[in-house]
Amino acid sequence: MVRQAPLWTALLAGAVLLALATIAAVGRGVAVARRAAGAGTPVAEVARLLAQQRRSTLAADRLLWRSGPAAVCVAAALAALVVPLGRWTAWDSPVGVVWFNAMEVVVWAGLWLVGWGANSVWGVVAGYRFLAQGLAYELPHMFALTTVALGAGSLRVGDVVAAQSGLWFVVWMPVAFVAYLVAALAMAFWGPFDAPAQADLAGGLGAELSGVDALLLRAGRYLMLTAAAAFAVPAFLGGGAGPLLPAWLWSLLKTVAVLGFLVWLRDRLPTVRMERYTELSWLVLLPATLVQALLVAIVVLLR
Amino acid sequence: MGLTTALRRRTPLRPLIVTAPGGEPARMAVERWCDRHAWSPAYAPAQANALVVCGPGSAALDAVVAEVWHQLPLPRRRVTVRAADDADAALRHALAALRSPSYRPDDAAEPDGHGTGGPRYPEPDQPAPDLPAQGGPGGHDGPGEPGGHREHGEPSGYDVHGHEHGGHDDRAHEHSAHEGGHEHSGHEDGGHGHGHGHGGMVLPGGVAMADRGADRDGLMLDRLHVTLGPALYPWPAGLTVRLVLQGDVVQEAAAELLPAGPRHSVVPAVRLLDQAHCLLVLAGWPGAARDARRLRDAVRAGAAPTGYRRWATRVRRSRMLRWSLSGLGPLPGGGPGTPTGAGSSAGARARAGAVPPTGAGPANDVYGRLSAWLDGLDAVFAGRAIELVEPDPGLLPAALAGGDLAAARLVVASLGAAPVHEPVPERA
Amino acid sequence: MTAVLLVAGVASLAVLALYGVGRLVRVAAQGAPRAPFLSGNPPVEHALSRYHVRWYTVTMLFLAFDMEMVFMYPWTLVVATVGASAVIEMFAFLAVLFAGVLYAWREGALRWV
Repeated sequence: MVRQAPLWTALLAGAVLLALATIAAVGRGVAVARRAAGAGTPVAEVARLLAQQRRSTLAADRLLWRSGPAAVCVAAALAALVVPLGRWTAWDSPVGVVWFNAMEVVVWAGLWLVGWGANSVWGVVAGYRFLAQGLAYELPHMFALTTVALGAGSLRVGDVVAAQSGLWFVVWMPVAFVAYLVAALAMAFWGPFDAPAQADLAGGLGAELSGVDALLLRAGRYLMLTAAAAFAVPAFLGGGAGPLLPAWLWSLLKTVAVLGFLVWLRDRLPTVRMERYTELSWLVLLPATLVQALLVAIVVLLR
Repeated sequence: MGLTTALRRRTPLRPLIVTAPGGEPARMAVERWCDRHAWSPAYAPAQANALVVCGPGSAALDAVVAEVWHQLPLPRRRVTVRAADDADAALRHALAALRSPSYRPDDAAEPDGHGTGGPRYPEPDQPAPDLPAQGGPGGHDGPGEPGGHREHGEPSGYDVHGHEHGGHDDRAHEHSAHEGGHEHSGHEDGGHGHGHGHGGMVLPGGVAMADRGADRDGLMLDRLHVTLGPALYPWPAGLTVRLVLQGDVVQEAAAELLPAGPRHSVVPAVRLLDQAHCLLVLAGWPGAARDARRLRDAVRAGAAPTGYRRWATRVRRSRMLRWSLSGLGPLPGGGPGTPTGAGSSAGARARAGAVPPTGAGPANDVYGRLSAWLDGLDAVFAGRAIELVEPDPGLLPAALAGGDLAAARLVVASLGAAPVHEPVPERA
Repeated sequence: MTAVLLVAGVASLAVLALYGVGRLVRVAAQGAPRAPFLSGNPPVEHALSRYHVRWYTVTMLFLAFDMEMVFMYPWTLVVATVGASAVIEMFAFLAVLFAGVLYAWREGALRWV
């Protein structure tokens, strides 16, 4: 059902990712201002950061520090590569699900480098905070992805979409879907999981970044959030399946819906303190996703 | 350059707000101005393009402001807002300057604070700082300067810095001399000693490595000295808290206050809403924080606090907020809700009969204090009078030690003025 | 695989291009290093110190599960063919690991403040 598209569509995937991330940022601007005029704020911020002087801190590890935000952006683009758009996919990898997982973990390294490189107490604490967050969100996330692969009997994203032609995975794997959405927020340090970039750490990871470096970190955050929202569509929401409209449009609409929900959450919830979330994640979310995986495994055996 | 100018014209103002003691009304006015534009204030100098000092200046604060000013990237403006009424004009002025096509990031034209603070770190190995190679002091007075933003004869009450040059540009020469003398551009690994050896070790920037000390588990671990305040946002005006950290655990804390500024008669509702706003910002709930700020501004403007009930219900009902804030920062006295519990303040003792608003009394933690503020606000908007008890900064060290850095700022924010209700039935 | 190299290359170029645009429109070159932000106070020490990571026991726990994932991804492909024994073995293994989580929790490893 999902077919390999020509090579140039790989670049199209990146362009679509960037466009959706821009929509998310502009939408957030509107939500903050609670009026349409706010749409200009993210655009103006981009202009400001482009023109702003970059800065360096005392004895900063500049190479590592600068490569962090760039790594997050590139990892998001690579993660989005395996997401099919309707009936086409830019890279029909036989291990697409694992690939997405791997690219998402690159973000750990990128954010850690951002925090470490500045030689600033805010960055260092924020970097360690993100690692603690990673330890808390990653396992439920991986079990959610495994459950999806189990249900499809394949790690190929196209096969996952095909397996949902009868019933979307979100219907019979709701726990995995919720765990996936939680992880999507956490990997983009977004919403209630924004402790590594929070006001109580003077901006945390971004406390000492200015200019293009700061722009890349913020862009990377939106790109990662968008990539995570986009992957939820083939994994749980039936890919491009839908009536009337063409499949590629359904893919886009579902992505925008998931992304909009994640962005909307930002203002609705306070930040979760990681030392509290860790316990919840390991003792509630992890067993819940394990039971979900077991149920799916039994269904797979029976059919 | 055409593109630079075009981009500049859209620049939003991102102020790093520093509040001097007594500058709270000015700060609220600045926040309101930003809110109207849907721009959020910065939390660190790197994110800012304006340094806004609210309230009257003081010598102690000036040194701190000079240090922070040095950390702002270009383009930047320094704004002093002495009184709330001046905020609008001063900020518009600064924004116009930042957006002006003739703005030149000429450091010599910016007060760099080198007379007072400046970097105390030898950096001769560095390439030239943010000074354009051309144009010494005075070179910034280019032709075609639109009138207005460089004039000194501003209305009194505020001033936009950026015009003073005398005495501040010595660093320009100093650094161009360095640049000529040492051509190590790009190296910052500090392998070159500058006579700042610490026990024979040569460290970059003349700053030491962290020293070790026993932690609570008896391990010898690096101790980091971190100072919070006074140039921090959001943060109580004039407060400085010196922390000793191991990792992000606070081992020791010490608090000091700048001399108090002029006292403003602040309506209790404004004070409580403002405190709730700061706490919610730090708790990472931008939506609720924004609503608290808008309610505060409405009350300040004398308008009806429409939407208060909805906001208060939302904050009270949030399980995640309770989950995140409860158990943080218990006070040694275990006082119910009020930071002056255990009779540590004479004022509280005087009102010995005072009871916390709700019968049971809120818990002795950050969440409990926030609940007490909400109860106080309920009372105010129901038409009852409440009194506020000022916090006792002496309680801070014990409340902070043992927590982590994240909790530290929440705890400080929670130790604001606490409402005390007159014990209505007993006295009547 | 070509697509991966293409996207990695183009994304990296885009990042570099952004730096290039920034270089063209910036108001000033990167200046001398500044002291890290400490609320207007000069730093006493470098922030890069040996950090007290209080949650390090969680990393041990995580590693155990993370290694398990190495088996779990290929396992998903063979469940249908191998049958019930695959499911029983995998979830027995997971149960053992989760018993470890419960033990660590009882020992307080998941709380660090």
